[in-house]
Amino acid sequence: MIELKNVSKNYNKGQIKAVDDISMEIMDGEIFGFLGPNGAGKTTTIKMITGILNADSGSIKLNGFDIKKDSIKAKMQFGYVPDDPDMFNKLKGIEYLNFMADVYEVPQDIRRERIKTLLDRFSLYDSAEDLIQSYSHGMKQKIIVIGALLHNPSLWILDEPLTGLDPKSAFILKEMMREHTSQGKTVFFSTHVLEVAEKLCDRIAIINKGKIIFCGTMDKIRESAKGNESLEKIFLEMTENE
Amino acid sequence: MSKTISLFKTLFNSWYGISNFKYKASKDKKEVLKFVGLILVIALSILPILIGYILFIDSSYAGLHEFGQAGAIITIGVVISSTVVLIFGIFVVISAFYFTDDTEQLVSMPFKPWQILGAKLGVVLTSEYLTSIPILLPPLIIYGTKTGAGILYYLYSIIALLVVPIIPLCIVSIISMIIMRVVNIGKKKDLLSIIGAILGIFIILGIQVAIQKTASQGDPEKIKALFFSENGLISSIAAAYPPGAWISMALIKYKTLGGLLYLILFLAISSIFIFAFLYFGQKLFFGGLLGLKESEAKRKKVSDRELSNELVSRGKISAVFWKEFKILNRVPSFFVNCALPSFLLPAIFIITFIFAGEESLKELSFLNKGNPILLTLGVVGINVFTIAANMTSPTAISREGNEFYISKYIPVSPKEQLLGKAIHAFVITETGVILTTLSFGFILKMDILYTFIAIIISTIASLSIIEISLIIDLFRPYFNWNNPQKAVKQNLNGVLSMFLNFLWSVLIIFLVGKFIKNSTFAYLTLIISFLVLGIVFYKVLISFGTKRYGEIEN
Repeated sequence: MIELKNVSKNYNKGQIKAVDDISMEIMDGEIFGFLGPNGAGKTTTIKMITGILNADSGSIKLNGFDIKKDSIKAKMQFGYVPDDPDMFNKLKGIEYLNFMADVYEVPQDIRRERIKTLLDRFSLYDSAEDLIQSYSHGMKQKIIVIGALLHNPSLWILDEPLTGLDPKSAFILKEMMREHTSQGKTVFFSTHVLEVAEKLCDRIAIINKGKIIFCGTMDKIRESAKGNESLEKIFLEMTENE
Repeated sequence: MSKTISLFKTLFNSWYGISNFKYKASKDKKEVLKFVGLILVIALSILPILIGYILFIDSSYAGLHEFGQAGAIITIGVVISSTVVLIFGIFVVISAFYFTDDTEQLVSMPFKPWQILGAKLGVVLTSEYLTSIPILLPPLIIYGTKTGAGILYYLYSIIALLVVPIIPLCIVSIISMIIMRVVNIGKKKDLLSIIGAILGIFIILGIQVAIQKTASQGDPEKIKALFFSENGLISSIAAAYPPGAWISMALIKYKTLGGLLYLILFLAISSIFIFAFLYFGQKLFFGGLLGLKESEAKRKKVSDRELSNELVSRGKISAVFWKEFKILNRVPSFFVNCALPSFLLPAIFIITFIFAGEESLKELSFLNKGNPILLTLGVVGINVFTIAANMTSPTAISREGNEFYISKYIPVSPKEQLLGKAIHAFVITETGVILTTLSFGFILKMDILYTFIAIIISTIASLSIIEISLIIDLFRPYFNWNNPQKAVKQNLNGVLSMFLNFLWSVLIIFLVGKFIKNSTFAYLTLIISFLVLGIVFYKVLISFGTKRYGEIEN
């Protein structure tokens, strides 16, 4: 479970409110979509949840552990896929995965088995011995996803995870998200692709100009709009009206 | 030409991060204060060395003046600054020409190779001024004021300051381009680039040794004659590096037509070097560049066992250590600037010793006479300098660049991350300490006991030096680099850490050497004081580091 209470983040000495007093609870067993136009505060929020940025006020708890006060335990709870997969270019794929396994304390026999299964599933097995810099954007995205899932975290936090993935890998990842939540665990992801959110998510939140303007199920969002409109239309109306 | 100038301006801006600094300064006034403070601290820590150099030039003037050779101090300045450009220029040139991210983009734009190279050479030249001007300016001013030179002399001096680095820079650039062209034949570009850089350094060293030999040849009678003929010293240097003598003669005889002719000669030869550089560049540059950005991908079937062998469980500190180790060794700019120097200094001493004979190192032999404590402390001093000058720890945080955020979301405490980095830096500097001490011990026929003591003291001293360097980098990490060269070469943290660490550690060694005459007691004092400092700075590093890891947002 992820809990955000009155979280704010300002830039330029308070002149720009990147995230403005938001509160959300992402429950166990749900796929939660985080939507919003460019620059709305999605990535800032995710970075605060993962401890990359400090919130100016409010509290963030991951499975009950506060990201500021109990940071290492909180960080062990989640696997995070950042929006830019361009990292560790000078490590081989397999070295990166072993590094992540060390960092998340995955025992040797389990890591061997899990890494092989995931490499195979994402068709990266034969590239594992190559430097990450030789990978395409999509391959980088996949290796980062594998690295984030190695310790079998109960919370998945994914920033635009489907960008750059080929249809097969996107399908696999979506399938894995469903499997994950069916075990009572949590997926929190941001996306621009509204159809994905529509088909995949149990609940969504829409953020615009740093404020949450909607949080609820698809049915609820349709209710609040005028009936059977597409999510795209509702989304555009909501973010424009603000 | 206007294209080249516009390209130069853009490259200059990005090389020094001018727009970036303006942007940051406009957001937060503290950035300006931090920057000014940093420059002041660096200036203060360089000051003692600069004052020492000025005093040396000043006393050399007095000594040389008696033999009618006063002008030779200008030649000394020209030769030292050219040598510095020659030796250190190669790192800058290879990185700036080949390892920057912008190069690939520039190649796809409608520029001719010579335009890209001309603009890049211009930028590199400005960075060379930062070292060549402080070296050349003191002799020029001292000679000028002591001889009561006129305005024309100072005009010539400005020309000299601007033009002197050009020839050595063109030489290293041409050598680098040839090496990169030859070396860049396969896809193992990182490894080959490193080999290329090492090769380049040794070629330059070879040139140095050859020049030294040419300059020092001759019997005592000849040397005596040199001293008693007017400006004979300058002519002897001219045999090895004529342009150095020409610019000196231009300055000394600035009042005469002869002086003007020397100046014209010097400017002409410098222009010829620029044209030669552009000519070779036009032919060689793209060839050396092609494939540089490609990287090898085997995409071969990996067996289960191969994969399992790579997947070995380690602790968090060890995981950070190996990550640092692999990345540093695989990024050519990092390897060349951080790891290579540990092997380079001992190699230079051994090679000079073998090829140039014992003669060339006889200046050092005074260390071996009399008190062995002096020799031991001398070697410790040299070690301390190489540890302080090593860029591994003062750039350990900066090197993460825009990937620093990863360090913030992984469940590894700042303490563990800093320890991984510190151990990594220690392994590199310790390799240098052992190799340097052993090569000195070999050349100067040091007693095995003193060799051992020197290693022990240097090792303990390295702890606090590494800790202080990490603290400096944590204080103001430099993340905003677009090519790895900038993280290590243009990082002021490295410069600050070098001078600051060198200053305090040498001060301790000096005080102990001066006031404690009993050798055992002196060694013990050094070991204990370095150890205590090591413990104190460890505590500071961990508490400051934990705070900073929380604060830094990039």
